[in-house]
Amino acid sequence: MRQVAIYGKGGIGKSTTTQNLTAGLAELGKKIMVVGCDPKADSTRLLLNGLAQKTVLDTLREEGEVDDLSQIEKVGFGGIRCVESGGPEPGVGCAGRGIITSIGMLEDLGAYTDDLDYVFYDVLGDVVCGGFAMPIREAGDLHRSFRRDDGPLRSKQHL
Amino acid sequence: MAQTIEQPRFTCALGSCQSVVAIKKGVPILHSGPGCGVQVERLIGQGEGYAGGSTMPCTNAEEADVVFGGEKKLRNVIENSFKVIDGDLYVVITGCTAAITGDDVAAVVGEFQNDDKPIVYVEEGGFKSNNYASHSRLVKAIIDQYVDKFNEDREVIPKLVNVFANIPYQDPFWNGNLEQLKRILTGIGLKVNILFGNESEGVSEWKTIPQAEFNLFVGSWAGLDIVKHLKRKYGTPYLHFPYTPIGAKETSKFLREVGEFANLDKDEVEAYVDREEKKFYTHIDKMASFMLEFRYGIPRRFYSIADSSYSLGFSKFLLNELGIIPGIQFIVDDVPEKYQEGILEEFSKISDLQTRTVQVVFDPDAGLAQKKILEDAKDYSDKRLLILGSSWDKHIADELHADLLIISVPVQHRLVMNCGYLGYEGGLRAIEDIYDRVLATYR
Repeated sequence: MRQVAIYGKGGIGKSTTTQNLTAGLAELGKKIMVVGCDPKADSTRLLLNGLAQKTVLDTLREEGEVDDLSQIEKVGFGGIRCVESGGPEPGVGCAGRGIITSIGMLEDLGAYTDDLDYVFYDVLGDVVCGGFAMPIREAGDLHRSFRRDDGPLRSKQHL
Repeated sequence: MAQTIEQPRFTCALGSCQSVVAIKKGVPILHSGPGCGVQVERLIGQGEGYAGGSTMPCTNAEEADVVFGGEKKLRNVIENSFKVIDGDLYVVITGCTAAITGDDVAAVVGEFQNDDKPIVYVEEGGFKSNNYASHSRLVKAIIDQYVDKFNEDREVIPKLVNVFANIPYQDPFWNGNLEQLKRILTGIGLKVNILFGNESEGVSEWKTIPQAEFNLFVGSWAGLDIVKHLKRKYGTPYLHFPYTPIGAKETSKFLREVGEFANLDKDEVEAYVDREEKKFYTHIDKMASFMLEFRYGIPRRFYSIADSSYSLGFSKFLLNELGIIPGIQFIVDDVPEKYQEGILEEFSKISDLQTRTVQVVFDPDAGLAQKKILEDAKDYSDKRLLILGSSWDKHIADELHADLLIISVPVQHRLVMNCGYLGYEGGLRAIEDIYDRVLATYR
């Protein structure tokens, strides 16, 4: 299993790239899980054909705990398993810790199955706290995502 | 520089919750993880008091409160604290969790303040400082957010003084010491806001803080910020007496300084000092036969592992009143560098009779202090030694066959109720306690 974190400045195409890339890999027959690590929770919208995903943290907030992977994981295009971490309400709590909690929960629930070829993390890049950097610690590869304006230079700095 | 500190004899910023417990009908409300309040109370408390230790309301913040914020839970705990604990002042204290998450505690507490509830908040994430620094932040928060509301027509009350001294509970004898301070300051003609403990009138006393004619800070450094703050805020002048006065000589000096600062009638002050000294020395006279009998068996030299206020106070007292020579003084209250010079200067003036050098070590590492005492004491194996320290020093006292007087936290081998070592009566109590240990070995 290879773990890939796509990380960078907001609006440079991380989610679009992630979803197109994973869709392509799925067409090649690869088993993939995409973990959206952005409180906006829109990293898997294309793969799920617009289905608004119920996030890990929403489920945790409403139900107190997550017992089963099926509560938070949806299967999208090409069999890609999609999870959105989500986040707290804007202005309260700690979204970074939320990412750590979500990934810890995926591990506990056995989401990282041996049949997976790739796990992609689509990570909000404008926030520099440790929680958002956490998926990079997990990841084996980094993908650079650029936009054709002044973004590339700045996004390079993020990488 | 040492990478680790063994046996720090203070606690984290959250320790200021004990200062709330020391206010009559003060209720600390912790917004922290479960167990924080108890670990503070275990180290620096002895007895839970009105709403301390495991009685403290606490949000017991857990992971969900970090991720989603703990404001709702805090609001709930505050509401219920008002219902179940009859308090005069509630102080919300945030621990590490809420401080890192950034809960808007000001907004939550503000809702209650707008309803005229007696409540304030202070952010004391444990990592912010030790409890020496956080005590000042807490007192300033109470003044700024609560006391100040009653300051519309500030009229100075003649001879009223606010007294700030050692930190409640961090100083195990805080209550007894404050009782003595109030007694002697009243004795020279002042009206005293003692603010913490038994002799205080509680929150009603706090409300008159802005009306004091002056503020008095008795201690080396921890708490000095408070009187400086009051000077900036209300223009109230302050007097700083830089150590705990113990016994007749130092207490008389202290009272004369206060009397002069407050423009009190000199004859009245002297008359009081005279009365107290006579009483004090009558007891000392009575002790002469004991001193004669035990002249070869009483402590000749002492070490201390203590806060700077006590280390200085005891050094002056033991040297000048009892003739016990100060050995190395290990000052473990993490004194900021800017205050160290002033403390050393006080040590340099320890004797009026001769130039005496006292070796002083500023280091919160009490484990290191113990090692050094064991080494240094080898040179004095023919003398009976006294250690002023904490319960954690019992094993070195045993090893050296030294007397141990516990004057610092943690206090596990003695019960402290109204004992205090400050003042005339405190000095007598110190003599009793020190020589009791000599008599305890009498065969």
